[in-house]
Amino acid sequence: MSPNPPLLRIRDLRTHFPTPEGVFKAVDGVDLQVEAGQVLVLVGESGSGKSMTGFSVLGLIEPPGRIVSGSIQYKGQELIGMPESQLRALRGRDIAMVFQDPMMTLNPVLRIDTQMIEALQAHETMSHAQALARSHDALERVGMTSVAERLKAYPHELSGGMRQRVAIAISLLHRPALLIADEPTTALDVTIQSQIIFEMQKLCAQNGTALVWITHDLGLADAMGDSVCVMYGGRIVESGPVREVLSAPAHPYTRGLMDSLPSRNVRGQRLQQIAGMPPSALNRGQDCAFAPRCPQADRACQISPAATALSATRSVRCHHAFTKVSP
Amino acid sequence: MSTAADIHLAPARTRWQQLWHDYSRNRVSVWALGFCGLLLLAALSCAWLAPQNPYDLAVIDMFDSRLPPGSRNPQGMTYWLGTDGQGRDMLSAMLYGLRLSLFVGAVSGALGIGLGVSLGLIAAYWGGWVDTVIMRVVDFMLGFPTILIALILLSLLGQGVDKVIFALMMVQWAYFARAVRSTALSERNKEYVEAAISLGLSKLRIVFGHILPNCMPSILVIATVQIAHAISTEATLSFLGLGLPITEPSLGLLIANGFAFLLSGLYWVSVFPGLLLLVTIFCINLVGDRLRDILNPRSQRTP
Repeated sequence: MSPNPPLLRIRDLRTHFPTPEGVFKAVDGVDLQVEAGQVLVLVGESGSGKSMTGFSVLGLIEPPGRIVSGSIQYKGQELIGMPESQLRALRGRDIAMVFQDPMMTLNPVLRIDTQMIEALQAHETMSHAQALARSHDALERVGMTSVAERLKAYPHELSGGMRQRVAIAISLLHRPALLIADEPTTALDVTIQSQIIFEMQKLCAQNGTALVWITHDLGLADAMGDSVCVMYGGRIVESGPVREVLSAPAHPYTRGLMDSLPSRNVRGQRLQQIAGMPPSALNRGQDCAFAPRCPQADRACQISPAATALSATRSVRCHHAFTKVSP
Repeated sequence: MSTAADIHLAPARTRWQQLWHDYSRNRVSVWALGFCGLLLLAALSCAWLAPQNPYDLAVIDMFDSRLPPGSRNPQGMTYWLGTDGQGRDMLSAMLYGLRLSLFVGAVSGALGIGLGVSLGLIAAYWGGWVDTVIMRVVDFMLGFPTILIALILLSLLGQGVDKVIFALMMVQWAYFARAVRSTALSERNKEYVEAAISLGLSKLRIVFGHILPNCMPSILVIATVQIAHAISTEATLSFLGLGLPITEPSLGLLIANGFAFLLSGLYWVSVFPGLLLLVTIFCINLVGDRLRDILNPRSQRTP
């Protein structure tokens, strides 16, 4: 083991939800690693388990769902099974989270200043006036205007973009070492999206905060990530440095995603898409989850492939990595 | 995101301003609220409004008993609503009785809210066996008729204002616990709770600082209904002779005192306190109904 453990290291994480119809395997063997200050983009479609991976890190999995096995280490400390009080001390201070829908994540009946001051005082002893000053600073840093007025406002008096800025400001109040952003721009319109992405990148770089950016948009990975993990069916099917993965995708699913990007398609033609539907995470078997939709699938794919290292930083889960079938 | 834009463009009102805006669109409800305010004011200032102090035995003359409304006594004082069996001025006794009834209703309601809301929130947020234990007790309490529990408690405790308040609190908290639990259960699944957990806030902080304020609308509705219920239950208990002591008559006791004279044609001793009780409860219920209409997202917002 290296003397300096990575900031976040997830090994074989499995988060399952028992249902009357069977076990819903939302996360089914995820390995990933984030170094301090790095930006990791976690890409996947709805139901691929990317959000649940993020939630598992913060221990936000609601019963009956639970982390069945695996390990999540933050700076070498095991988070799974950590007492709630210790976990609470880490939440918000060391590891913070920004959620998808800014309409829902701020408490509708509390003023912005109340919510920010509360978040500050949860981890640091400070006077009300000090906390208010810190909140004021934090909102200015995320590019809010007329901050004093905004602090006195209720969430419903702010637009979606402003609310997400507030949520980001709150998440960065304690300069966390790790920020998990769960599709923070999905609910916003495109112009606000790019502003928010820009602000978050800038602030994380300033604070030295590592960022796990959960998204369904592979194009975003290109724009902001150091490394990328592609998730499918509760597993990471391909991971590695963004440039390498995007320039030479090894997994057929990544290739399918790349081919369906509008920018890769010819104007006037139908967009390419991956045939079939995402698999159900219910009662998943031993075969490769992507096999039913995969052009390269054969009998070997009845056994799920193990993660194969392609280089020190790249790995893929496929029996037929890099093989392309000619249409 | 048209909704976001709409919300942003709408004139920013605080929640209370919005509440009043919605509430005041119904004139009857505004009158009812005004009447409630008037009754409250009259009850609070009864020491100045009442022509006589009904607790002061020195000013009460037995020879003035059972006088009809409008009679005058030798001192030149007019009994506008007549006198009761002890010669007390009915108007004064009713004002003091109203104060006592409202006080008992409000205090027992507030205590019931405190206990019921806390237990309901704890049940909803902690879940598991805590929830099961609390809710089974609630089911047990709600399984008995209110008046029966109150009667049992009072016959064990004896008479007195504090005992009546305690008994009324005990019969009311279960309603609050159940209502708050169901609201809190839907609130705890909202994303702001997850966000609050991710900030490292403590459980108590999340329950009482974040979930409770979002349960206020339903608490407000049930509180008005329950306070009216508490006042009528207290009146019933006093009427049955197990409530407040006879030296401090509440509205229910005044009705009971006059009950014996009702058949002899001395209607005023029972009927006037009865009417006051009716109007009081009616007005509080009207306010509660209106609050339920505007605060319940499922019911239509009618003007």
